[in-house]
Amino acid sequence: MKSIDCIICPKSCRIQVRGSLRPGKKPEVSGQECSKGKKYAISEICDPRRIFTSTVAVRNGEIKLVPVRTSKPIRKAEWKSGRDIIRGLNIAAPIGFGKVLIKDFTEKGIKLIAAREVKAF
Amino acid sequence: MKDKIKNQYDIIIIGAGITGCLIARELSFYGLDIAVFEKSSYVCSGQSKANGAIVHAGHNERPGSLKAKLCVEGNKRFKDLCRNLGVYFKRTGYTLLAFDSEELMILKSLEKQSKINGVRTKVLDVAGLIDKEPNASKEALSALHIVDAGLTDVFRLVIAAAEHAAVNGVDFILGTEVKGLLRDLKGNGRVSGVITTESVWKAGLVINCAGVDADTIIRSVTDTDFKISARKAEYYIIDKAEGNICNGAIYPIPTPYGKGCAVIPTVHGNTILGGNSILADDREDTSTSSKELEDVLAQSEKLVPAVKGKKVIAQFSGLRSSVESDDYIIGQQPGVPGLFNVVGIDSPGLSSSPAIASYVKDMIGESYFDLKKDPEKTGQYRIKPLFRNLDMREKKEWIKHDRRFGRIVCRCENITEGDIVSAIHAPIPALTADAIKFKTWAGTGRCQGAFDISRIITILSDEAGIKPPDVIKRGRGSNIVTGYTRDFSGQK
Amino acid sequence: MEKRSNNSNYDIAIIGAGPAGLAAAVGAHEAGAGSILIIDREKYPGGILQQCIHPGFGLIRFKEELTGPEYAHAYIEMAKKKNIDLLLDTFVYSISEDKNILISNASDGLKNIEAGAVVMAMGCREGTRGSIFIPGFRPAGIFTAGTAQRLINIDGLMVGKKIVILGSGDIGLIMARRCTIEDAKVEAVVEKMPYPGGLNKNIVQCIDDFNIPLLLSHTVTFIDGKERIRGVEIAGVGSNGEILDSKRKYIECDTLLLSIGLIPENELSRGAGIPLDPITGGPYIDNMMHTEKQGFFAGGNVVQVYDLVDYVSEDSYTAGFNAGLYIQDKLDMKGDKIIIESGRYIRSIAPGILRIGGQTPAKDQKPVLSIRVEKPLMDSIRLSLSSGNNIIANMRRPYAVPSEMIRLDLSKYTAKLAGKKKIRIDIEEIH
Repeated sequence: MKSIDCIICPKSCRIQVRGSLRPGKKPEVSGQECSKGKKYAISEICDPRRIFTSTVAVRNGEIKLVPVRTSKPIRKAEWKSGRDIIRGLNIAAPIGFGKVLIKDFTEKGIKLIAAREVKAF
Repeated sequence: MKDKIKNQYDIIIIGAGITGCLIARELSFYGLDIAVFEKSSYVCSGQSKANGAIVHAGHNERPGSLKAKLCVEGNKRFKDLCRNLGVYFKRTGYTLLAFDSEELMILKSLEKQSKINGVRTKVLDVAGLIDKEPNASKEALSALHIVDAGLTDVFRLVIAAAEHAAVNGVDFILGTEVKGLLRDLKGNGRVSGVITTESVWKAGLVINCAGVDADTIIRSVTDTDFKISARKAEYYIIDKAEGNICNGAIYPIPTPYGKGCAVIPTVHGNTILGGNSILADDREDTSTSSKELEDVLAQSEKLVPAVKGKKVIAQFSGLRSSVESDDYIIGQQPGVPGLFNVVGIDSPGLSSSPAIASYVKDMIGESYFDLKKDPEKTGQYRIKPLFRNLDMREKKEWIKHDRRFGRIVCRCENITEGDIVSAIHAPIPALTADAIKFKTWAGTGRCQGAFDISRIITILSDEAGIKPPDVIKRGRGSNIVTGYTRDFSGQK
Repeated sequence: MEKRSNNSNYDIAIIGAGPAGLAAAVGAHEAGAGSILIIDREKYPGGILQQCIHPGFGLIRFKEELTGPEYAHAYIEMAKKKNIDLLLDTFVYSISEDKNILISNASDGLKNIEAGAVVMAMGCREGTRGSIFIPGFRPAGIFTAGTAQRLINIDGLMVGKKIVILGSGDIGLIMARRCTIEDAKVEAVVEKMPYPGGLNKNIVQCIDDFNIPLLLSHTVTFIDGKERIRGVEIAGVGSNGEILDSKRKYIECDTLLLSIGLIPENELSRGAGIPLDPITGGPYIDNMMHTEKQGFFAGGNVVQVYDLVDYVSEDSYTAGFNAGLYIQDKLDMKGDKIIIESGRYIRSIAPGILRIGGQTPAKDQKPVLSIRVEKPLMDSIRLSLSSGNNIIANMRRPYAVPSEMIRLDLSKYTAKLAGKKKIRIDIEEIH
């Protein structure tokens, strides 16, 4: 049995999840006051993920850093590898808004995207 | 621009506060090689930076003392000195409030003492007090108005004096602490120079203006009981937006420990509260404490009830060197030729400073050096004004010559990039965040530097070639940031 | 959009190109204003959003979770119109009561701009150490959370290695995460109240995710270190706000971040003679975002501290739109003027005045109230809207917390409000 505090609204229900967490199985969820909470609890316990954001060094740009974000949430536990990949990057301006900087970031299908346009200096 | 610093001088002055800098300036007109050593990274970093900026007239000084003589004379010279250097001075006068019969008696004796010292005063009844100071406490029984007291801009005064001396060839060796003095072992045991952690510098005469550390300097060459006690004063700064609270400073009746905690208008438009005097155990302790600050507030509210509830933007504190004799010690250290002390310069040190400088110069001229005016030396020097204080026509001129005066860096105080760049390239370069703050007043407003620090780091990097992680606030180890977040070495 | 414009005359001048100013420009344009100028002291538009690189923006406005720069981009694109000029790297020295604006920048120097209407959108500044009197030394290493965010995200400079954060509002929590990701050790987030100041989501994603200690009912009582911070002393805070000596502790660190509150930045408003509400910190406004000074409108954090930028955009759009109507003499200010009073549990309400009826279309009157409660109310609450002894409406909500602004749309009650002079909002806990 695992329990989490929900973050969907400030009521922050303490939700318990019992039973099998394997794909296809239906775990027992209790303690939530709405359906959003139930969905959140299951995903938070089975496969917690976060959108990862940071900054990447820019060469020859009007600004020296471009803010970046992942196109989808990455596995929570992989934030350090994500951070390390970003640290080693250096992208030349111009950088278009939304440009894909890395196609498969910490896993296949999750892109690292430029969140801001950077014009060349 | 000066060529390399020498290792031998005619005169070495220890300490770049108001005393050391005015003396340096006074002596800089003659054909002498002079250096000022300062342990902090900029001038005006010790006692001179933490006070009320008040120019006293001498009501509180013991008749016949050096303090009385030099304070009265200094007060008279203050206006001209400031005008010559381009520094603010205003003869606002100030008032002391008496709240009970005991204080009334002291007030009367201060009136008498002022007369003996040649200080103009006026006794006010409550109506007269409120007329002069509408926000003063109506509980006061009577007040003593010191007519000739005034307010000045201490930072700019010290900086202007130092820059004038620098323009005249005085070397300012900043960030260098004098640890001890060189003394001849044979002959008359004359002091022949100073010792720092890095090196040794020779001098014909050492003038000790080292403030709180002056006794350490003396003890490095002679056995003596002489001790300086550090007394701490704490201050509150009230937001400029609270407006004018008083026309001149408002003081309580003094105690044996000092003039007490006052409500003081400043040249910048804020009001500051403070000036209490507590014995500090640790000479380096310029921390503020909640108990002392509470006392400052309580005492200030007693003098000026309107102070209650006003928005405060910062607190600071500073130490003063207090000596047992409670008088200035100016002259050669007994038994130690070559060491000239200007020590124990606590209140009214600022007020006395023009007279102290002149007095010291006369003594030096009499006993140590032939003072011959050097025609090459610049007689006049005015500190470059801040852009915000110019009139519209001058502002437009300045922007035409340097567009950076059109760009604001400190939003709360309206300080421009041009002001910051000028400070960096001044005769005494301002190369730390605090030095820029002292010189330009950037970062002293209600946002307390939150807006400008990022820009100041960039400007220091562009103008002085200091890499951002190496920009310091004040002294060694006070780096503002700890490093880069990424490898930017590939950038332009 | 960016022009080194030689114009000195605009229908609408907007002070600030952050989310508020940009939305106001779009609003003014859509209302049909002729010429619009946005002025910002930064070298780029987008305001504070450009340094808020984390997600959490736009969930309401765009139904997507965007990062700050992405939200800014959306509005910057919307504001790219022929009649909207943008003056960057430009400071506003003052605005006179008759809308003469003195600006300064490096290319044009000092210049006067005349405007027919002005929208104030200058945002906020942060609470400082000096404003809460933390005793101690004055070393390097003390930053407001926002300044640290700028140094890290814009300048690429790290503020410290061992960090203590005072204040658990959202900015403090966000910076706890940001600093950890940038390899610093966040020793603690210290919060003087017995509950956190920021959203639960941020507690989980910034504090729990990174195992950062959150010390509630504590505050910083001394800052140690002469040149750079060496450590801070913290102490427990009792139920009456008193310091508990028994719970003093020293934490070694080299950095203190302050996240102790935002203050609407109204120096320019004061200079223009615009009356300010001491409770919100911003100008007194009505639902059309008009201040008490003719032709001066205001939007965004300069009015009151918002929690969601989506609401900033909504209200600032209204401000700009109505400024646009005003300049064309289409804004009717002669409708009913209703004063709004706040009852129990309410810390602040804005606007303080409703103007409804009149010729301006109802949809443009936007009677939306922003309410902040003074303490967490975790059981269901009832919000009642009354006039005198008559209850006009009752609304039920599952909870109310200070960190979440309650938005009350009164559009459907305008008929019932007509003719009233005063209305009151009360909150009651339903157990």
